[in-house]
Order: sequence, then C-alpha cells, then structure tokens
Amino acid sequence: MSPRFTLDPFSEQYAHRTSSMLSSEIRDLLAVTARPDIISLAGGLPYTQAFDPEIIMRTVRRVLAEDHAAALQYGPSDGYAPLKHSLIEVMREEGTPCFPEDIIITHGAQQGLELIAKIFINPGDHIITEAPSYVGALNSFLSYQPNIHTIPMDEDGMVLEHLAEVLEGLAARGERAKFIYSIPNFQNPAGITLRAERRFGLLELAHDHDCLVVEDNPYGMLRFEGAPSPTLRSLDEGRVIYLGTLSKIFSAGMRIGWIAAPHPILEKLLLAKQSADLCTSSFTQMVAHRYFTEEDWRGQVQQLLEFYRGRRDAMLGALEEHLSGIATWTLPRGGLFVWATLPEFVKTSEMLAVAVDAKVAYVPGSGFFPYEGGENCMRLNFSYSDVETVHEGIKRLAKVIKREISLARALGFKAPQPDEGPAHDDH
Amino acid sequence: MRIGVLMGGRSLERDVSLRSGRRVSRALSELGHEVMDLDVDENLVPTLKEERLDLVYIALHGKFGEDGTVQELLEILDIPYTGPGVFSSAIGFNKALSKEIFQREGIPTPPFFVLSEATFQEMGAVYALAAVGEKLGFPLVVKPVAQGSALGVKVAASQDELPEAVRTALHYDDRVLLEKYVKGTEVAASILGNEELEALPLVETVPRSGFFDFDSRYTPGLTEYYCPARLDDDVSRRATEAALRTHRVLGCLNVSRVDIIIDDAGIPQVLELNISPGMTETSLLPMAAETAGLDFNELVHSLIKLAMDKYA
Repeated sequence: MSPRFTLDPFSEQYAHRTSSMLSSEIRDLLAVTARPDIISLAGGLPYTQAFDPEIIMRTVRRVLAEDHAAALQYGPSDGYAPLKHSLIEVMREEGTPCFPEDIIITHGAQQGLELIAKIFINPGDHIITEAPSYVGALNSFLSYQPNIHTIPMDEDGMVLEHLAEVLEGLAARGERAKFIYSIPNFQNPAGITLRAERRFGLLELAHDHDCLVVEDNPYGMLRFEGAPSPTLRSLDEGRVIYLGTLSKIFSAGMRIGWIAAPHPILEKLLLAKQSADLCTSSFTQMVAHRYFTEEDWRGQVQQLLEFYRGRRDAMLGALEEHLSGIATWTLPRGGLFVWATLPEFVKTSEMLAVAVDAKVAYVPGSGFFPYEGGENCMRLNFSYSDVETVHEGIKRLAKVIKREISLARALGFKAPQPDEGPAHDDH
Repeated sequence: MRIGVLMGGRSLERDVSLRSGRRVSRALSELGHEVMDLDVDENLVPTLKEERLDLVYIALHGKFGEDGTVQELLEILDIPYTGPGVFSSAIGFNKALSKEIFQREGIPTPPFFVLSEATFQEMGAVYALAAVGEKLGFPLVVKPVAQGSALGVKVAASQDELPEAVRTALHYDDRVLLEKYVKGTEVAASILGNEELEALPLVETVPRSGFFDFDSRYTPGLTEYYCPARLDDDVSRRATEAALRTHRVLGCLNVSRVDIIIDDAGIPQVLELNISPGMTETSLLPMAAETAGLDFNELVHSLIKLAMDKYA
C-alpha cells in the first residue's frame, strides 16, 4: 500500500463546525479585483478618504497626552464607560432611547454577531434571516450549525406572510426559532428598508412565537432621503438585541461596535466577550470617545452622505442607461449597496470570470444565501468608487451581461426578447 | 544570485499563483539567494530592466504566465527564466492544440471536439451538440481550451447537461473542448530535466467529490493523494513513459507535469501538460518530489539549477 499523503495532518482533529469553513473559487476570483485596473463594485468599504487626517491626528494626540497609561492598558470588558455615552447619543440621534448599562462595546458589530451566535445557537436550532442577508452574519451563525430559515423580501423588506408561515410551521412541530435576524435599514446586500408598519408586524409575530429579534443597524445613519422608521429596539426593548457600529459613520479600522440587549442576555454576552478577547481596545475606544465629544461628527456624516448620495445616483443612472429592460434593481434610499436581478438563466457566479476579464467586479448573489438562491443576482457597491468610476464600471458590466445573454440565447437557454424583458421596477 | 519571482498578475489564478510564489520565494531566501517578489503589473518590464536579475522564477499560473507571453518577453530582455520556453508554453496551455499533437504523435488521448464561441453565436453550433454527444458518448468532460486549475470544467452526464457545461467553459475562454470522459485512475507525472529526464513518482488523486475541481484541488482534505500511485509496476511504467514522451514532444525544458488517466485497459490516456506546475501546499509536483527524497527547498534548488544549465 503506498503512503497516503495527508496535506493537513490535523484534519481528524478539527471540530465539526469547521466543515462549513471552505476555500472557494469565488474568493479566488475576487482576489484579482485587488488590482488597481479593475473597477471593483464588489467590496463593502466605506470611503474613509473623506476624513481629514488632521482631525484624527489631533484626536489621537489628545488621548495620548492626557492619559496614555490608560490608553495602553486593558479596559473593562463591557467597554470604556465614557464612550458608552457617545454611543447612546448616536442611538438617540436615530430616536432609540438607551442607557449606558444597556450596552456592551464589542470589537465591531461582527464580534457582536459572533457572540450572539455563541450564546444562543445549539447545533440543529432554528433561526430566521432575510434572504438575501449579510454574509458575515450567515458565516458566524453557520459555524454553530443551526437550521437557517430564509424569508424573501419585497421592496418593503421581509414579507411577513412568509415569516408567519415559517414560525407556524415550527410551532406545529413543537419547535420555535431562537431568533429572527434582520438588517432593517438599507439592508446589506439588498439595499432594502423594512417599512415601518412591517416593523410592528415583525415584532408582533416574534411576540406571538416567543422568539428574539436581532436588529443589525450599521447603515441607519446613512440615509440620503426620507424620514427614518423607528428602530425595532425602540419599539420593543424587551425582545430586541440591537447591534450598532461606528464603522460606517467614523472608522471601520477602529473596530468599534456595540450591543444593546435585555440585561440577562447582556450578562451572558459579557461572559462570552470576556472569554473571546477580555476587552475591546482601550486605545481606539478612547480615540472614538474624543472624536465623538470634541469633533463635528454630525458634519462629517453629512459630508459622507453627500459623497454616497452622488455615487448612488450615478449608479442608478448608469443602470437605467445601460441595463434598462435587461435587469431589475433595488432603489436604496441610503447605505452602500444596490441589488440587481438578471434574467433567471444567468448565473452570476460563473459570469464573474468574464467580468473580471473585462475589468469590473461584483459579488455574486448566491453568497448571500445560507444554502441556495440568488444565482441570477449580484450585489453592487457604490460607496467606494467616485462618480465617473461607478459609471464606467456599470458600462463595462452591462457589456458583459449583454454578451452573457446573447451566448445563453445561442445555447438555447430561454431568453427574453429585447423588447419584452422584465419591466424595470420604478417605485 | 539575484532572483526575481514572478507571481500574482491579473490571471484568474492570481491567488493560487501568490501562494506558489511566496512559498518559492521563501525557499530561495533560505537557499541564500537575494530574492525579489514581483507581482506582475504594467511596471514589470521597467522593473526587470532596472533590477538586473540573474534569473526569473516564473510562479505565474494561467493566462499570460503559462501561455508563452511572459516567456517571450523574458527572451526579448535576455533574462534567464525557469521552466519551458515559448513554444512549449504556448502549446501546453492550449489543450486543443496539445491534443492534436498527441494524436499525431501516437500518444493516447481521449477523443474530442473543439468549438469556438463564434460557432455558437454566429453559426448555430448548438444544433451540432447532439452529434458531438453521439460521436463521443456520455459522460463528456467540457473544458475551456486555455485555462488552468480546472476552472470552468464540468462533466455533462447527458445531452441535457451539455449547453450548461458549454456555457460554463465559455466563461473562461472563447473556445470549448468537449472530451470523452475516461473512467480510471487519475495520476500526475512530474518530469524534471533538460536533456536527461527524471520522472518523479506518480501522484494519484482521489477527489472525494469524484471530480478533481478547483475546490478539491486547493482545500486540504477534499482530495486524497497517494504517492507513489497504487498501480501495477508495468502500468506505472507505461504511464511514466507516456509522460516522458509528452514532455519531449512538446519540447519542454526544466520541468513539466503531465496529467494522465489510466483507463480500464491499463492504457495511460494523456489529458494535458502543465508547464508551470503549482507549488502550493496542496500541489502535486512538491508531493512527488518529497516522495523522491527532495524536500521543497531542494526541489526549488534543482529547478534553479536546471534553468541555469539551459543557458550555460
């Protein structure tokens, strides 16, 4: 018998949960998009170039001048107390009352998601998410091996009839969902906002079926137009675990997020946080605190909004110009993303190779579904590229899509005629 | 020596190439060379001219790195490089041309047809797919003509699956190879040398999914490898001979990896030849070298030596 080569000698020793952690072809294709000649509409990066480095330097200098010893030290696991006041101020700005003892500070909202998964999900537990949903949340959840039930969205967010159906189906089997995960504002990846009435409806269903709601709100402050809807937390403090972040309004590099939750849950999260990393960086928390108390953070957010609004308009305009009648797309009133849907026979994950060759990139839709779905969809980011680049990117993409459709037609896939394509969704 | 390692670039196998390149680069440093990592971009030629390198190690995979493009450029600049030359690279990267040559030279290779995107877009080739299926029989392996790492490769079990598989392949190249699927043992034969050739032990690949696709290739645990391959001595010898012939017929220098399927009759059917074999943690050439008693650094050292000998 010849020796069997074992590439990873530890492969028998890993926990079962690592089986969902795989290398993938798409990840490798997206590696190419790091090249500067490729217009990447794939990332989800905020435009940090908008910040004046002088302001940040000034803030850091003050932190170090006044209390360098504390900045270099461990801090409390629940977070730097003065920063909590700033975070509460951010929440109040969106109409969500909150108190310092209601929150713990985490290493980005991503850590919040991981901690929530850790304290709630046993293998085989049921949880519910929107479809599509944030891939980072799905990955955190999946590593704890739940059954994820996905609820489709329309232009007003999660369709509650479907949600009710899933909850009732579970109840009929004597089971229930541990939580419903939602990104109610300018959702990632769909750019859709959960309509105000549906927020009440969702909470009512959660109440009837006694499950928690995880509200992930990274984009709420990035509103380009319209009036804000109440946050889920402001409607039902006793049932909602709220995740906030400074990544989209200040700096993703500082890695500061927070969780506001009912106190018993907060206790468990705190224990989980302690075993994960003891505490969030004292240094970045102190910098953030200074920034939010001494600088014009509201003015800075306004400035970001100016950038993003213009880029969103550029993207929607370019889509209208180049893909009208061929694709449909969402019309986000804030956030970072547009979700585009192509004819059903197009597979965006496979088309990515062609797009990369044409020097434009997007994220294929299937990655935003835990099991399957979204094969003919794509997420397009507008926040990171300037107006001209967004335009050029969509132009290149349209060429790729048109070639794809013509090829599919030549291969006998059912393709719509040019003038009877799916109507553009003009709400 | 001052050695530049070419890696990355804009090919779809960028990430695999970076993994190969970084590993080679580290080996070269440990061997005492002065190493420069070069991620290929529009500044490549000015950099190469400025740096006065003694040798370039090509750790590129895919288009431009493996198809003779960068080799031609290095010939023009008079910079010695590792691996086969322009001709072998250009033919090796083109699976259709390679197979034409195999057939002419009497090297067994599975029967095949090649169709271009234009034949579908402009000549209605979709109506010829039924004839392809009848002539070759199912299952069929459908591949882009020029692409590495099994990107865009699909098996069509029946006529119904053929258009989908063709579309996939055409995402990666404008020509598609439709090849009869041969059931058997998959092996990779790595060859080292210029005039005197050394065949390293055969590596047998057994992908858990039944198909050695991209994810099976680069995710540890998804494929089982046996080296030497679990074959009878004379089958193994025949496979090795076929690999050596393939290497010579395509005029390769330094190194190549020949992918072979041993069919039920024990005949080695040659699928393709790679002129820039992967050097990652899960790659086959380093595995074969290790079985032959060469650790990774020694393998890199012999590749460097073979490259320099070619210019001596």
